[in-house]
Amino acid sequence: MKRSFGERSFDVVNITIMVLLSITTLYPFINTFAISFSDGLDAQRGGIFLWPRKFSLSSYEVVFSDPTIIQAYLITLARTSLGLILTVFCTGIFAYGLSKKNLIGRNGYLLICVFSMIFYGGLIPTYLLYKELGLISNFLVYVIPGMINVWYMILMKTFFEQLPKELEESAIIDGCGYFSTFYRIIMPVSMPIVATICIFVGVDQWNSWFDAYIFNNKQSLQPIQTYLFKIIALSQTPETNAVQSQLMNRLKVNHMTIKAAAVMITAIPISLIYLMFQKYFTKGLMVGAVKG
Amino acid sequence: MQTEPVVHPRNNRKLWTRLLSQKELQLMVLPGIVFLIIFKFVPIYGMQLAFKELSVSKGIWQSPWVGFQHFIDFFESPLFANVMYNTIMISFLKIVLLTPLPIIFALLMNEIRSGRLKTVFQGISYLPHFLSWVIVGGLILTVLGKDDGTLNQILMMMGFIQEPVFFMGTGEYFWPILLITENWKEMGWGAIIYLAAIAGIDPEIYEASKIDGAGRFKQIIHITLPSIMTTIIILLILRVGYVLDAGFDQILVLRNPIIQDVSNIIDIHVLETGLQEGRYGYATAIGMFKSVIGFAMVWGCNKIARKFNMGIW
Repeated sequence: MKRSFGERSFDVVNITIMVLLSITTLYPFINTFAISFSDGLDAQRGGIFLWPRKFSLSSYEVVFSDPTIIQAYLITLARTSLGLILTVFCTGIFAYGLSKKNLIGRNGYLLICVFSMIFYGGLIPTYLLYKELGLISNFLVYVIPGMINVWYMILMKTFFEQLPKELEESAIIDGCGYFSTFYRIIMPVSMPIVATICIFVGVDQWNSWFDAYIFNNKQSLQPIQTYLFKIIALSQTPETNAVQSQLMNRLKVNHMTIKAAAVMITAIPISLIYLMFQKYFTKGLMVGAVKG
Repeated sequence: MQTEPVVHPRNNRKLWTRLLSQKELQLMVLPGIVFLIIFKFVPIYGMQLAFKELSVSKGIWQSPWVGFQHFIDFFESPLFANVMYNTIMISFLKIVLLTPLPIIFALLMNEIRSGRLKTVFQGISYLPHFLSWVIVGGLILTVLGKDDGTLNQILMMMGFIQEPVFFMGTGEYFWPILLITENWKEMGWGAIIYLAAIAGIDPEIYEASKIDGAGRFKQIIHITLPSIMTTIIILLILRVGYVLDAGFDQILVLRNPIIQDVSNIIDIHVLETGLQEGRYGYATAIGMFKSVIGFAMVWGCNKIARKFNMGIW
């Protein structure tokens, strides 16, 4: 069937809109990318839009020679990997237990879960609790509070409940306990949901900065996102203060290109991971999106 | 805590044996429950600080009661109107202006015929969702900066403006910037759920309408949009429940002292009075005010959404 003129022009307009939207989405990256690879003095003159006019790696050299940034990067890697393992492991076991209909007290447990999800005690009481638990300025504050996540628990529980009963029955008959059934039988067949949760937690951990901003006062424990936040907050403050000039002195390069390079080294890893695993991201996250 | 005296020994023993018979199962769940009680319920219990004046030497539990003083202080504070207005208006504008955009985006995306193009467009549109507001803030400041910002340079080159505009330092621009950046970050991602709903529509309906001579535009209006209406309404209801969340991360990253009066929201006020000024009781009271209203809103909205069989829980 031949398409009418109206149909074809609709297609053209539609694709044009999509192309423009894609450009709008990507342009800030391209622009920041170009600035980050620019010579500091040259960038100050402005006019860098798509490509560095005077190519230079000095901003990255400065960024990567700054021990604070390297340290922050390591903290981010550590919290992401440890947080991932702890959350998937603890929430997984929790969800598996709650997926059993014969669990005594199940309804009460689920009520506790749902209530804790929608009623927030507030920043100050949370802060004071962490203080009493010794979590302030402690690396564990990044990974412990997220160990049990009710939202992920619900996603995993729903998945476990849909698994065929026969799967476990044979294992239980063979004398396997719940723990070993969970590891040997349930986990291997639950890889789709585990992968989804891994993506959720991984992205979350990589992107977290607020917890470190509030609950941590030690520079050595600062993740890269919080470090970046401080750079940005400083560059937003109109008057130069002592900290800022100190920072500038240490960095010795144009503020703008350094900031751009710092944004890039934080954004590029997660963007690359996203691009590589895009298929899984969208497929797995569909589950979460549809439910949420 | 002491255990209750045993009233019905037989029943009780039965419960005990049943519990013992599934002790492994209980052991999988109980640590999680204890965890939630410590990390979620203890702060709720700690909310009593809203009615107390924290004395550092005595701790929360022994601090003296002050009744509703902190709440009264908050309601009478000159910042109260400002903070509430900003919070509700920013949230309201986001709901009203930004809800239709992912829907339109999904409808347009659905009309792309080439599968490969569709994947590329979708892939690009999801990307900003995976970045933190800190990164997005860094990108935005590069583009919107005053002297070195790219947008200013483009506008000046094209002759629209003579002097660079201080986008981040002008109050009137702040809310539009919040709306645009929020949409930039989340529109593609927000469209996923609508795309999923559209994918669930029976293709036969489209075939039938084609025979009846409906064009694509008519199909969108008369088939696609009505079919996803329930999804749209439910998401809207659920979003309304979070009306007191105006976007803490986003505003914290993008604000600066010059535009304080348009960027003060409840969460920021709690942060400033509590952790920066050390007025723990006062800040807890504001936080509690938000939590209670927020809880009622989420609960109520979810009740409504459950009528459509699509609550959060």
